[in-house]
Amino acid sequence: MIDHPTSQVNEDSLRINQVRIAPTFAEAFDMKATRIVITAADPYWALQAGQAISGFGTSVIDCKIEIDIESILSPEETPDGRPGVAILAFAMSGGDLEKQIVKRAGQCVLTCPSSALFNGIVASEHDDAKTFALGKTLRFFGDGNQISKLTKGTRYWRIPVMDGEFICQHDGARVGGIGGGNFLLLGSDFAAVSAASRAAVDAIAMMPDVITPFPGGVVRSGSKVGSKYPALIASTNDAYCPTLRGIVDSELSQQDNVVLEIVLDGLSFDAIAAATKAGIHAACDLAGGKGLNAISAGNYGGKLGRHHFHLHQLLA
Amino acid sequence: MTHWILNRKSNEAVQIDARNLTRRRLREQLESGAGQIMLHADGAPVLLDELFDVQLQPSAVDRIEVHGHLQGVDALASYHDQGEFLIHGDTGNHVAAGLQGGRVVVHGSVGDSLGGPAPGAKAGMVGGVIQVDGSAGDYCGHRMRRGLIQVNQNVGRNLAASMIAGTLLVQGELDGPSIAVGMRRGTIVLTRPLEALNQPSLAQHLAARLSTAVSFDAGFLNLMEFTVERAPIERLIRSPLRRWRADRSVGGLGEVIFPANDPV
Repeated sequence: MIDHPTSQVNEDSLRINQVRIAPTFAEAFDMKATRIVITAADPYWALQAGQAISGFGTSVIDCKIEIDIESILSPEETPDGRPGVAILAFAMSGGDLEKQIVKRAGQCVLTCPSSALFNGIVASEHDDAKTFALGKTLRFFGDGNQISKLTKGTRYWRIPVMDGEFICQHDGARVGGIGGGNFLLLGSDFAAVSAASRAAVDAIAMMPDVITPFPGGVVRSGSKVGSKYPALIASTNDAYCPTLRGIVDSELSQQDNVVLEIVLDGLSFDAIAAATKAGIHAACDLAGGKGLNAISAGNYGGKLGRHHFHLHQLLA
Repeated sequence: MTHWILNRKSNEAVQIDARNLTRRRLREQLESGAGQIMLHADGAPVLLDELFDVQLQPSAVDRIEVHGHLQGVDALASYHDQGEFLIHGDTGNHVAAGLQGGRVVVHGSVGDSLGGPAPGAKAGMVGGVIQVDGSAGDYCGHRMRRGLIQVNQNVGRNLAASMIAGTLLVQGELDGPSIAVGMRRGTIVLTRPLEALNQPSLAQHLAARLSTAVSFDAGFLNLMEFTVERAPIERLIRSPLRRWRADRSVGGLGEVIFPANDPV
C-alpha cells in the first residue's frame, strides 16, 4: 500500500503533492472490446507476438482499433501452461473489432514462432458477450491439414506450420468496453512531464482490464474533433499546444510548456476510474513540485461520450 | 435431477441386451409414467425390474449407476446423452454404443466395440467422454465420430478401426498390427511405446498403412481434459514423441501419437 500525499478536497483548489487538479472531466465512449491470450514456448516469443499484434493500434481514428498488451502472464495463468501475454483490443463496432483481430492474428500471431492463441474473455461473466470467429477463420491456413479438438466444451484448431502446430481457439468473445478515458499532464519542462507520464503508465500497467494504447502509453499529439481541412476528422488540440499560446484560446498558463496525455481504454467504468486514479497519483508523487504543474482532462463538453470521469470525484 | 441406482438381481449367466436402458427412457418413465423399460435376455423380452432392483435418489445431475454381475450385459450406456453413467464391474460388448454426450465411467473392463456403433447401426459415438479403469476388447472406438475414450489398461485388436474423428487414449498394451485400420481422422494417444516397432516384420506391415513416424510436439495435450490419472500423460508430454498419420491406404489423416522408441 502506497501512502499518497493528502488531497485537498476544495473543488477549486484540489492539489496532490502541489500539483493542481483541474475541475474538469474526461469524456469517454462506448466501444466493443475483446481480450485474447497469446502463449509461446518462452516469454520472449510471447512478447514478440504481443508487440506485433498491437502495432499500429493506437487510435481508432486511423488504425480502426486500439490495442495493447494488458499484462504479462505466467504459465499458471494461461490455458496451455506456457508463458504468455494478455491483449486488450477496442474498436468502434463489433465488425471492426472482429475484422482487425482476425487480420492481425493471422499476420502477427500465427507467424510468430511457437505461438498459440486463445480467447481471454469468459463469456459467461458478461451479459453482452458475443462470440466471433478466431481459429474458425484462421484454420483455413492449414489447407485441409488442420485438426480440430473439442475439450471442456471449447474447440481448438491445430494448424500445421513450419515449427510444428499453431494452436488457436475456435471462437473469441467480445463485450462492451469504454474507450477514450484520459488525463493530461501539464508541466514546465519535458523531462519532468516525461518522467511523470512514465510513472503514471507504470502504475496503470499494474491495473487489470485497462490499456494505454499509445507509444509507451503516452500521446503528445492530443487531438480535437474536426479541422479547417474538410478531409480530416481530427486535428491538433490547439488549446493545449504551448507554441500556440497567444494566438488561440489556450488552456495553458505561462508555466505550462509541455503537455502529455495518457489515454485509457477499459472493460468497465470502474477499471478506467481506478487506473486513472492510480496513474495521476503516481505522476504527482514523482514529479509534484519538480516541474509537473497540473493535471487536466479532455472532453467535448459532455455531448459526445456518455462516460464522464470527473477528476475531483475520482481523486478527492 | 435423479440418481438411478440399479442392482442386478441375480448372477444368472444370461446375455442381456441393455441398449434400451437409457437416461431418456428412465426419465420418461419417471415423468410421464411410461411403461416399464424392456430389455432382452437371451433374445427374449424382459422387463427392467425383473433383472434389476431400481432405486431413485435426488441428484445434482442425472446419474445412472449400475452394480452387480454385469459380464453378460451388453450395450450399457448406449446412446447416453447427458449426465453420468457409472458401471461398477466388468461388463459386456458395445458399452456406450452411439454415445451422444455426458460421461460414462466403467470401474472395470469392457468387451468389444467400446464407443462403437450399436448392433445393426453404422455410427459410433458422436460425443461425450468414456473412461474405462480396466481394459477394453476389440474394435475400441470403431467408427467413432467425436468425443473422448480413455482406457487405463489394455485394448484388443482393431483399435480405432474406421475412426472418423475424436480422441482415444490408451495407457496399456495393444495389438499393434491392427491399429487404425481404415482410420480417416481423429487422434490416438498411446502412453507406452509400441512394441510392434521392435519387430521388423510388423513394422513393415504397418508401413503399408501408416506414414513415416516423425518427431512431434503434442502441445495440444496440455489443453485436453483427461479424467484418468494425469501423471502418465504429463510424462508423455515431456518425453520425445513420434506421430504416424493413418490410415494412408484409405487417404486417412488420423494421427497416432506415441512415445519414441527409437529407432523408428
